Amino acid sequence: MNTMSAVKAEQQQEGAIPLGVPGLGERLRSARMARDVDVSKMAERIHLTVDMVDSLEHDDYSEMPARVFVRGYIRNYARTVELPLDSVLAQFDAIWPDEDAPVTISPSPRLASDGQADKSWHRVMSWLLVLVMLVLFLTWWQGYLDRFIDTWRESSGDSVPATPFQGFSLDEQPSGDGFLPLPAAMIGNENTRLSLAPAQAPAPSAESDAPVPERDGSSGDRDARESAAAAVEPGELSRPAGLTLAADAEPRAELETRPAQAAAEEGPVASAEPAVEGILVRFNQDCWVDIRDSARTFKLFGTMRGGSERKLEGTPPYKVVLGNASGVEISINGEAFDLASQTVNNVARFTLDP
Amino acid sequence: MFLRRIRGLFSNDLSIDLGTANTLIYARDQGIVLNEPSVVAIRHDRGRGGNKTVAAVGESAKKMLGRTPANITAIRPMKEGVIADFTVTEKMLQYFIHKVHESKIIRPSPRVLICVPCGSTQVERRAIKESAAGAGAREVYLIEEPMAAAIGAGLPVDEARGSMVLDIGGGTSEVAIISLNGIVYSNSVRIGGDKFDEAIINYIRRNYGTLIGEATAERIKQKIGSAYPGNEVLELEVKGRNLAEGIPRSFTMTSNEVLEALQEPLSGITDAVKKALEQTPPELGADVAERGIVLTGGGALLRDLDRLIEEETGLPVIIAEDPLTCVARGGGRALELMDERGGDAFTVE
Repeated sequence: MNTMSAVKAEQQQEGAIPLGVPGLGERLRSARMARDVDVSKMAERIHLTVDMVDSLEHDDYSEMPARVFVRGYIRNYARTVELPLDSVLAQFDAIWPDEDAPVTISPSPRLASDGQADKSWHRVMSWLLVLVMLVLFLTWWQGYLDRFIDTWRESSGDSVPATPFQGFSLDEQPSGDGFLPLPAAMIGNENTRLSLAPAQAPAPSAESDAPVPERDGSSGDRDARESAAAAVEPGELSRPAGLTLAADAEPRAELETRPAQAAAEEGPVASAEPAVEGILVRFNQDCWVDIRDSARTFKLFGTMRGGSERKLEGTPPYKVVLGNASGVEISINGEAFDLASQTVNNVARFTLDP
Repeated sequence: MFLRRIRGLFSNDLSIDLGTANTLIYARDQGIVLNEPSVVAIRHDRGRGGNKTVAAVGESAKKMLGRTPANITAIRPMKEGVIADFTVTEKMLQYFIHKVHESKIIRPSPRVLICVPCGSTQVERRAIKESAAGAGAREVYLIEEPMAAAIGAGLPVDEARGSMVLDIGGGTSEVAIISLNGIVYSNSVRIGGDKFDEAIINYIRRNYGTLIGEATAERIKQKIGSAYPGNEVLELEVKGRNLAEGIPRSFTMTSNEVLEALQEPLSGITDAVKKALEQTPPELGADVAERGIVLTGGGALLRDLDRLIEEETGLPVIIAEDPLTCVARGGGRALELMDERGGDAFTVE
């Protein structure tokens, strides 16, 4: 406690206590005297010994216990003589400061204000990092997926998937009537999807009820054709030859099996229909098909609708897989090809080299 | 385990005063970083077997107490100083630990020292330890509350002299005599702030025929509560549901009535102190008689409680500086001392 006395003496010398304000002990003593209470009575009231009270009144803390006790004694003394507690304790804290004073305490100080900027900065950086990693992963995954699909397609030539694939051919040329048979899945999903016929496609059908803008059959007015096609109600559609419009399955099927009379009215369209030269595949029933040429420039892949027919192009020989061989006829230069000899369990797998 | 150590590098050592009423967290080198009520609001999803999710924790959950719709329950997972609901306590601790590490990117895994009542059983201590471990703590140490309170209050616990501390919390009151870094005698009574509130509720129901909630009772205690008759009489207007009429009514309550209401729990505390003094070895008893009893905990803020104990025991009674945070600060200091001395001088497990 000698150290404490030294500290106190030093602080008094340095002027820690303002001049003109009596010392703490003096202040306590004068308050006691003003109430006409003697030291022994005061000691009895605050349950201390007379010596301790005396020491408090003389600011001599050398024989006193730890700071917490002395602060408590002074508080009790001040309360008994009705001195303002705050100012008395502040004066005591100035004389004997708490060396282990805790860091400023307030309810959740860090949570309310501090570190908000830091927090948001950290959060933004974290999210950015996560985003970058996600993009990198997706890029890698995309590449991996493409490679995997390619590999699978390569190997799928040898085996037919159990479930028919709802795919369609994009590489093929349109057949004679200028319509591409589109898969049911696609038709179900989109009401109006367009695919353009070649530039030399025949003139539009005269049967068209829709307000189709004027066309000269060239590819230059593609926009006009598209807008016209979009305006047409799918159910009552009669399409121009240059356009294939995939609408509800029913009208589309209807259109594909149009009677010869209607086709005849279209002039050039009707005349191009029966292709005698080359290899012609006619689908009497729906059939899953995978036909590829040796140069890999031609591919017919997916489910073909019954009643349609396709001319094989590209470079022979062709690798052919037919999922429903009994519903398919193949003719080479007008001569029927014996498909039955290649068929096992209604699935035909063979190489076609005319 | 290895990952936890790595994460530990990015976490602060924490001292947690897991109290019945409030939870305080002291972070090393930072001071008290969290002081929130130990209340959790649980939301029940609709339908049978619906999920339970934490709707609010701490201050916001406390505001919901007694004011929740059918699908929300506000729970105080600690009762009488120990865990009453293990899962909810774990969630609450997890929330608080994350909250004090809010700015950290890496999930915290701090070393945690938790204060437990000296009267708690092995099972209750184990529950607290596992709850903290479940909340993400890397290592969990336990310290008895009176020891932490004594250290936090600045008592010379390492001296060969007896120091007596009385810590009045929300659920329990702990009294202990400490000397040479150890507890010579300790006793824990399950009386605390909650019992004070309960006594006020019962008094008002009995004398005014009116029912009030816990929050109102707590407000009465804080505003006009007194443990010893004072010179001035304080008054407060209280609103509650009149039991006879069934409609809300207001009435005025005085500090003398609150004093009367609190007689029973207060006498329980003074009895515990007297019993401790009786059981204390004479040398230590003499030290206590010479220097006095130190009061800590939220209960020490009850007006004139020190005077009551003074009158009852005839010893000087001192209220510690900032009594609410003494236990948490003492726990933090104990963690530092453990590191300095390379041992676990204060921990009980």
